[in-house]
Amino acid sequence: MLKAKRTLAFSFLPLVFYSIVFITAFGAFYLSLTEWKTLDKFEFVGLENFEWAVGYKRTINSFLVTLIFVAITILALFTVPLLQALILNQASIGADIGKTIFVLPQVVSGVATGLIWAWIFSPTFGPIDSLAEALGLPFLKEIAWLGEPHFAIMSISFAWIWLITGFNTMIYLARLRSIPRDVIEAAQLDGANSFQVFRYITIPYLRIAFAIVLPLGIINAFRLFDQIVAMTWGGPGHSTEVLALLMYKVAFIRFELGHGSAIGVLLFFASLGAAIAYIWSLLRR
Amino acid sequence: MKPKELLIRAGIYFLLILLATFWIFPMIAVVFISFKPLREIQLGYVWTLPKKVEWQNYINAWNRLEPYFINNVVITVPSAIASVLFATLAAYGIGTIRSRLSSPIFYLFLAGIAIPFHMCLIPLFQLMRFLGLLDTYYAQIISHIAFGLPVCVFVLRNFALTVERDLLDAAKVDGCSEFGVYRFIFLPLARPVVITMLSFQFMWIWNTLLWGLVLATSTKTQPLTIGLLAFHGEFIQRWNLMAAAAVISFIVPMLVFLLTQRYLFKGFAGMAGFR
Repeated sequence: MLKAKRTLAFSFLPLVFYSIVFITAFGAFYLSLTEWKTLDKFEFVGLENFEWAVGYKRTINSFLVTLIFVAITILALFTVPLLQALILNQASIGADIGKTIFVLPQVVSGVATGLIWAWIFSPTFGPIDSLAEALGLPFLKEIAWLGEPHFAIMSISFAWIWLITGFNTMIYLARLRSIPRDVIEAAQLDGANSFQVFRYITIPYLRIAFAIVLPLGIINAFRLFDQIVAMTWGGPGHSTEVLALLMYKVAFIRFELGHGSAIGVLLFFASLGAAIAYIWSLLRR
Repeated sequence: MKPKELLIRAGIYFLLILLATFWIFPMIAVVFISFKPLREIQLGYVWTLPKKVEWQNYINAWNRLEPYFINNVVITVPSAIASVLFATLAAYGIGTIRSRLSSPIFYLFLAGIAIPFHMCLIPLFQLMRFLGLLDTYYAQIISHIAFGLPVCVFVLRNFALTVERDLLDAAKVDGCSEFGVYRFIFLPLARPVVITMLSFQFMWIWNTLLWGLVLATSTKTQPLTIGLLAFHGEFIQRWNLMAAAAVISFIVPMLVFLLTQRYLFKGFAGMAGFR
């Protein structure tokens, strides 16, 4: 039997299931060019949906909100997981427990995470007020963490960062652990101090990790959805209404399937750059 | 050790404890308040041990969440197993049997990672409606398998590339069929990776909201994530109940995680593309 035939035979069943991904993906592009009167009748309207989408205030707003979260994610990914990984790499005892603790949020669903942090940030029932008093920071009391736009974005960011950090910490850690000891020792013998070791040896080694962590983080940030549904549903007002949420609302609550699809396609193009970067860096290894 | 080094060491451990405490506090706090009657949290007594252990919270939460919980089990287990199983088939086909089709098919799976699931929701909804599968378990199971394949195929194919050819050739020389090699040699070798992916898929599917939101229209098939949201809507401000519900939702994936930790930590690096 021809070798290719065997590959095909083994890949057949998976490909059958996987075809759904492409069918729906192309379907989304097609649907974005249609308008729906009822759930079953539609007509082809060309780029009209996109004209509507770009002109719709909420689309622009949600795109900006999404970008804010993406920016916060990027900042966070450069700092928190890196710090955790560096500490874990240096600590000889407690590293295992530390690893488990940092990764543990991964087991909680986006929804549950949102709800847990919604409680933490809730005015009377949350622990912040009592904590603030205990730590002597009275200005932290009585703030409507989820009731005001700026604070809402901050609160959601807390929950989001808490959730995604662990995975990236592990990637950084794996990379840090792969730095050969001899290289560091040689540098130290040559008189390099810790800072120089970090700058000239550690960072170059980490570049590969950055190339993976960042695009993946950006892709996920564009798809931010669960926490927002659980914590603010886009509010207060529309200040936390990200693109994915807007798409859901337009398509499944207002049942404007054509408009919704257009937003979905916009979402695809918005995150395409990061997606390509991610796949490219995956393949480089 | 020089005093300066000692200071740095101490500083590192201090930071570790600080970070770890901050990291785990949400979950510990939630477990704490899940056992308290509402009055106690209202007064801000989060950190004290409950004066009265309120098991009723869990009973209430479980009563409401039970159908969703069962849905989750019925959906997650087959989806996780099937997606990993199919991924091993594809990985064997493209990673071990290296033919002309291997690369194209691999890139095909890889492209799936670029597609945001949200975009596919609307056509998926219509597709399932058309097939009459809305509000059935099949709709979600099929979707999870389909969309879970890219990641699983990627990781397993990378593993497949590392399998020694001599082992496979020796088996073939002894008269083993291609499928036999897959079943008796490839799969056992892949066991650690398979466990990693099974665990990963399980947690991912258990915790996902999207498909259930769109493909399930009643409690017959709605997953736990939706159950949590519904519960929240019904018992707003009753955070002790919410906490119990949240614990019920994450206890299973947490167990899975703790049991497969070893494999997962190795797998994280693999998922990032490192061998």
